[in-house]
Amino acid sequence: MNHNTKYSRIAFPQDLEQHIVRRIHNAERTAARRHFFGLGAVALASLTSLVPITSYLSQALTKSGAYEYISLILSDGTTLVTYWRELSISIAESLPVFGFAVLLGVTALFLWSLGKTVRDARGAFMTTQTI
Amino acid sequence: MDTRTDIELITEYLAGNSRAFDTIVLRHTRSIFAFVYRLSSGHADTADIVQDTFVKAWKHAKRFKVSETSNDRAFQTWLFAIARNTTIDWFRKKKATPFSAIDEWSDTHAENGDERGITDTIADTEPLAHELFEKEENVQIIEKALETLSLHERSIILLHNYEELTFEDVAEILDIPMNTVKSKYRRALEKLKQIIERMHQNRP
Repeated sequence: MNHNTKYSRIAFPQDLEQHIVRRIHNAERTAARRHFFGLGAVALASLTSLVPITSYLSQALTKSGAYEYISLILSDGTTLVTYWRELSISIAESLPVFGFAVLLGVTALFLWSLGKTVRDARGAFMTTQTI
Repeated sequence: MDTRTDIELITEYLAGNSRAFDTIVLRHTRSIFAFVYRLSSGHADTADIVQDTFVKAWKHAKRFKVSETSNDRAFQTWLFAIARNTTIDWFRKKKATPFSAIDEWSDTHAENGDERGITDTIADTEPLAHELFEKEENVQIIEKALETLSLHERSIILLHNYEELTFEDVAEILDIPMNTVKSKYRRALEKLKQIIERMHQNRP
């Protein structure tokens, strides 16, 4: 079937393509805005929660005695060379692992949500372009 | 004129170039419009259905599996399947169905078993299709006669004869076995032939 026959007797609405593209752009913008505000809130919440987590970790490090081990290492290099294995185990045992895990997790969440928010910012506030 | 293939465009779109989808819209709007227009017997809502079709395609673009073997045919098949389903959904929602057999879907699966054997012995449909579609005088009559066909038959004729898709592609769009497509196609052609003959006889 040739092209003329294929589309014969069909009146195409004017600017239909433009309407479709505009509708898709609007939907893209709405989705980007939703992501922007949702992930922006996550970024803000994770950034805010970094303050108490850091404070908790600092207190836990003080209580654990890890600072003493570190100052011993820094003050006497020969002790480190001789007893490096024992010192390593002692430091590892005294470190507040839970606090570090939470800090790392929240930092990762913050960086991820910040990256996504920045990426969506352009789409969320762009103006509709005509094609 | 954009020389990128549909697969290249959809790949670019999925990689973050949102403008690539605009080109897909520009490229396929006319054929999708013509398909929906004929499928719905020229319904006034055709433009809205076409808009919905592309919005759905945009929303579900990630579901289109792009692989090394993907080609533009596969993309077109996917797009026509969305167009067809959107058309059916639209009229179901509006409860103003222009289709004589919109719910024949389930019946088809029941009859598939019988038709598999029958279609192997069906004669080649090409001479009949050629006879019907190549005569310029038949064009208008066929457009009118299409409205008397069932949804399945109409879809098959539109996709195979107007959009020039293979039976394999049509089967994928309709989600039915290829043999069923072939037998329905044969039946639809016979119906069209009878209608056209009747119309010619009734001419003064």
